[in-house]
Amino acid sequence: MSVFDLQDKVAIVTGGGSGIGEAITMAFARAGAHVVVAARKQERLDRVASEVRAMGRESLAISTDVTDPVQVDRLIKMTVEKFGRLDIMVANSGGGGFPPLEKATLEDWDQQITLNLDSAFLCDVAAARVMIEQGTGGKIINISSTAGINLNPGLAAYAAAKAGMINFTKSAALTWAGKGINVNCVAPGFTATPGIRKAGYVPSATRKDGTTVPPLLMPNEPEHVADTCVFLASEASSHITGELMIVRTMFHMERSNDVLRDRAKLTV
Amino acid sequence: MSQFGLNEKVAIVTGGGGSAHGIGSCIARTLAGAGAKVAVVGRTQAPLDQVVSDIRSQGGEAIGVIADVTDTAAVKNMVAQVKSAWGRIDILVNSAGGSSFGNPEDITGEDWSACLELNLNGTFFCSTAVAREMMAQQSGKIINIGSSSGIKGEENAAHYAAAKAAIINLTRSLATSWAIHNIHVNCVSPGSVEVPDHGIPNMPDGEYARRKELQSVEGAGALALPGNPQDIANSVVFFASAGSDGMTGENLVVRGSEWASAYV
Repeated sequence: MSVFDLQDKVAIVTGGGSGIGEAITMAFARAGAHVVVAARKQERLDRVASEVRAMGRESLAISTDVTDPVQVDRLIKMTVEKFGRLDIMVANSGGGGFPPLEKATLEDWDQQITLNLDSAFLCDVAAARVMIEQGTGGKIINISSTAGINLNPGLAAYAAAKAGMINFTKSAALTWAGKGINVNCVAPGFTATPGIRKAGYVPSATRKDGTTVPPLLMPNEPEHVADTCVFLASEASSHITGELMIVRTMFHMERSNDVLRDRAKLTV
Repeated sequence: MSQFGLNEKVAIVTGGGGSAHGIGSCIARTLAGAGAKVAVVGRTQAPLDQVVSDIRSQGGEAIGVIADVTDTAAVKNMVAQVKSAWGRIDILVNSAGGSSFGNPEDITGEDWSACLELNLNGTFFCSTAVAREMMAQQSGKIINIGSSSGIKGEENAAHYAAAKAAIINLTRSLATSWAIHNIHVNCVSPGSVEVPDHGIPNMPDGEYARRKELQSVEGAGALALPGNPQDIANSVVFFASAGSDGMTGENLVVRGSEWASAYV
């Protein structure tokens, strides 16, 4: 048993039906945790839950709109009814999308803030209530984005919500430190999720000149984000709270190299 | 094998004798416990022998290497000794460090230079010497030990805080420069750590007690207390392992809820 194990811990992963959330769910299960997956699409959740069960861990697939306090409370209640406790909450639900800024309405803005920031507030607070009642502490992990740190002209509301999440993490961490709850934030950079891959955004690991791109210059894999979450959910990080762990490779350098190469060709 | 295992990896831990901090020796033992072969580096033989024999008695593999990390010739020799023992270097932990303690206006030029040399120059010399080997392998993990002092400043250890801030920034430059060689460079920054001689060597006893009292709010729990060397060592294992393959150039602060500072 290593300090990185999650043997028999009970975790909830929101947005666990696909992408990074699915990778977190599977990494938790591999580390020994029972994982409740929550998202809006039941079919996806059922698939992930059955994969968790196939690994000998227990799972629940609970269709949930994490922007609705009633549904978040229901998610927590069903988890505690089934497992008797809650040790780990990963607030991973979210998504970007925004019209050109000068055309954006307050509705557009609210939709993004609700989906990306309210959801974390609701899940964190609901989980903390149970963890405080249990008296054994717990681990809360908010999944932000490098959009919350970088400049993002195309995704202003998403970026603002993700930045808000980073700061909210710190306040929540200090608020609940006395209760033994660690609250941390993970900010993935550009990540090669199956969806992103399918859309054709992930470049080949072989360059046009036949050379191989070093792994650190390729996009993140979802498993990289998931492994960081395992660390933050485990005993190995028991003295870490309020921190931000940015999971990003140096992918941007390879991209700019490509641009430079293309420019060089143009001038030749 | 878990994502956080280090089987068959070769690691160098500077400041691993741990006579001053207790952090370096804990890192060396923990890396060995995770499966790595560990070269424990320090300036004096006796504490190195102790750590090496501890690791061997737990079934691990270790050697002691005498080197002053502020001396480039000694660093070169250190790399050669590890290469001749195990043929490669996968992990470097720059844990050698320390400081005197006193009012900024009382820090002498000699104190200032010695502090920068030990903490900053040592980290730079070891990183560059080892990175040459890692470039040939096209893989490697370098973990620098910073300090929360390097972010928030440090009352009465200004030279130490400045050196640690420089290490945090150096981490980013090295990460950017060596990403193309698949060398990961990250930093672990401890807050207060409960160690035999207070973390900052030569800090007066009364000063440490005062700081501990400031931190220990009633009912605040374990997160409000100083950390221990094992907390730091666990984070180092994370950055040494495949579990951190998506991270480079980052600084992870390990300080519990010790956030009472104007500067985060």
